[in-house]
Amino acid sequence: MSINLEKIREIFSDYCPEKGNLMVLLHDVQKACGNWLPEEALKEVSKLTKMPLNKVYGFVSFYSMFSIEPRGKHIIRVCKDGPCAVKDSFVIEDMLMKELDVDMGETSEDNLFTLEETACIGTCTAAPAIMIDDEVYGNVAPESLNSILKKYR
Amino acid sequence: MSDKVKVTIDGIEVNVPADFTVLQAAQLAGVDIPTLCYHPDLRDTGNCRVCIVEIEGMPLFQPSCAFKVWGGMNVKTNTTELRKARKMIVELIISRHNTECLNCDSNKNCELQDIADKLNIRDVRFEIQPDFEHPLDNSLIVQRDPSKCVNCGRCIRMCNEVQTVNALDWTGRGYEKMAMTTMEKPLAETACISCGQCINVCPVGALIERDDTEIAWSFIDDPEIHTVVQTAPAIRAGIGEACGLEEGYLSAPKMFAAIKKLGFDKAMDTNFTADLTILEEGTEFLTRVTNAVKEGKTDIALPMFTSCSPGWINFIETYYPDFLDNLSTCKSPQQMFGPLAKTYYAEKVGIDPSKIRVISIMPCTAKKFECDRPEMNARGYKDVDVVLTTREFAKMIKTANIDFDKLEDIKPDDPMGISTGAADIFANSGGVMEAALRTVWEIVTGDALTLEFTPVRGLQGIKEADVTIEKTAEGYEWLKGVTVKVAVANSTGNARKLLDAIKAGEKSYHFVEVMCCPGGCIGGGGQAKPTSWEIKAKRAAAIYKEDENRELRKSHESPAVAQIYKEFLEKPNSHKAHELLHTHYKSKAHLLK
Repeated sequence: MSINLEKIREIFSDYCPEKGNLMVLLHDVQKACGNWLPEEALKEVSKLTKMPLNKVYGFVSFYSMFSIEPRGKHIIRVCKDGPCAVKDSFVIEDMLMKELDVDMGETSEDNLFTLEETACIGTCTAAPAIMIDDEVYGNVAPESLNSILKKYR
Repeated sequence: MSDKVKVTIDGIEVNVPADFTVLQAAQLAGVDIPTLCYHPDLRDTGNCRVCIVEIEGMPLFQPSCAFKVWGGMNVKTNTTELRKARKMIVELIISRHNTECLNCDSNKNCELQDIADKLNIRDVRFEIQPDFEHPLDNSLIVQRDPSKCVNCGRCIRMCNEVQTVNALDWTGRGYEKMAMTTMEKPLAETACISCGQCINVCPVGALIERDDTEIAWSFIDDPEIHTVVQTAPAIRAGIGEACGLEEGYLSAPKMFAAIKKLGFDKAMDTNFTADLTILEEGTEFLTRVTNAVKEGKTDIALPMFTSCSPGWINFIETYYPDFLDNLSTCKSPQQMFGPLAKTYYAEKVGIDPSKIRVISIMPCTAKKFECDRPEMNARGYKDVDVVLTTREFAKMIKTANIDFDKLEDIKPDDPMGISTGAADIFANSGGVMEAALRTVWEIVTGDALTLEFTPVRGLQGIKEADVTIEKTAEGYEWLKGVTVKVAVANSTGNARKLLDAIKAGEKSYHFVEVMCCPGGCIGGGGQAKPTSWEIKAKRAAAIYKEDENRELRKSHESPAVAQIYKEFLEKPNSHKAHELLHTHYKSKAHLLK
């Protein structure tokens, strides 16, 4: 996949060049690159921010929201924390793995979904909860999964 | 800060500067606190927690290496609670460490072993689960074994903050946090310059150099092979220490004796080619200055940079390829010795050069890289066959049951063993500059008196000096009144500062010496472990003492150098000298792209 370096430079020009902006900058770059950060993109960010590449890489590797592996168009995050686990989040997880034919952390063959785990997303009253991209779904019942996924297919 | 404050450590009162850490205060009070991630030459980070202490008024234990004192502070370093906590911390570190100590390069020279011993650890309560997911990286001279890494971060601070090479950094988080290359690439695909400084500061055996001792033994064992050993200037102030003697132990005659005792045929000296380098490089420098000042040519690359340090060559090729024309074309003394041993010496003694093997003993890991460069092949043979570090040399001495201290003093072998004091000081930061000035000064001014150029001495990162030429020798009248500006940098971090200043036009010089390692070769990546500025200062002092005790202290006074020009090389920078003793450089900027 070819990376649009011009687009990255454009994103960079939206931010004042200071260290504190690295997080938001990388999120935008990740979005522009299709939900992941290819090596070329990291190198471009390193060049633009004048930060050594190993610093940018170390930063990216620290946060689980960044990925250096290609991911699908949509990211499904299943909450694995206590309240959701009590409410059988593992059943939801199993169903998703079967439905998408992937293991946790993998991307479906049609490149539409990547399945990930997440720590608490703050909707414990509506456990079990999942998140697809920026959308939160609470009280997820096994039978409602298909209709949720349908929206993204 | 000159303000002093009173601190009590285990009941001992000490007055310490107000900006001291608790650890520094404890050291002053004579109280020993165990440390792991702390290193006197590096920034304090407090990430291993081994050095925790109890401070009155603080609710939690604090890492003494990263915690500043205050007036009236009361510190305890040895309570039951502290011992328990410290033990747990070290047990947790061990649980993530490959504990196969017997076949580890750092066996018996390991700070984790020392701490475990000190804390009397007999039972690790956690499952031992080292990181075997990331395999040993032996792609380059510097080799990394993640299963042994204890996450102290010393290598990262050295690589990023001192050397500014940025090959390693923290990656991941929590349990998975580790020192790693970008994208987990092998070191050979990173900007690593093979300086080996990370090895010097690694408390365990997670970072080591490629071991080439078996190759050296195989040369000794082969009766068909004639072995010629060269020893770098810094070895004479390093090998004694590596063999367990005191820091700064000076031992050139025993060094030669050890080489012979190991079974090598000839013990010669890189010092010989260090003197030769001064003649070649000095002549090259004068040619550049003549062209620029006298002829007024504008395309002459000045300042001229020294080229003896292979880590520095790797650094400039990677980070500053625009400056490659400024590098002296002279090979390093090690690489000058190789082809001369296989031509000049081979002809002299009538030995087929294909039967000669040149073994270098160097304070340096980057020398191994330099020796493997394909262009280092002047006459169809590899110029230098194998490079051993000071540590590997010490290992061979140990294996051969040689008691270094008891060896009988001997002289190096002719003809490539004779040298001057100017060659000795190549080991210290500023030494190549001083040696060059001793010779060039005499050529240009005809003044034979000046010997020591103290402004270029010392362990400071960057040193500058200018000398105005008042009196000139015949043929150099055009230099009258010219102020020659020189600079000396040690560590590539300081070299970077200097290059950036030159690039920005803030500084201009005629001649710049750069040594890749902090302190110069005496602080080389292949020298004895552990190391620190305090130890390096002792080694540097030993080297200056060696120079002082010499009868001949200027390279051009070396009879061996005079002889080789007369019999073999004709004159400095002759056609033959260029073929054998000079090289060229290539940009490695692609490693950053």
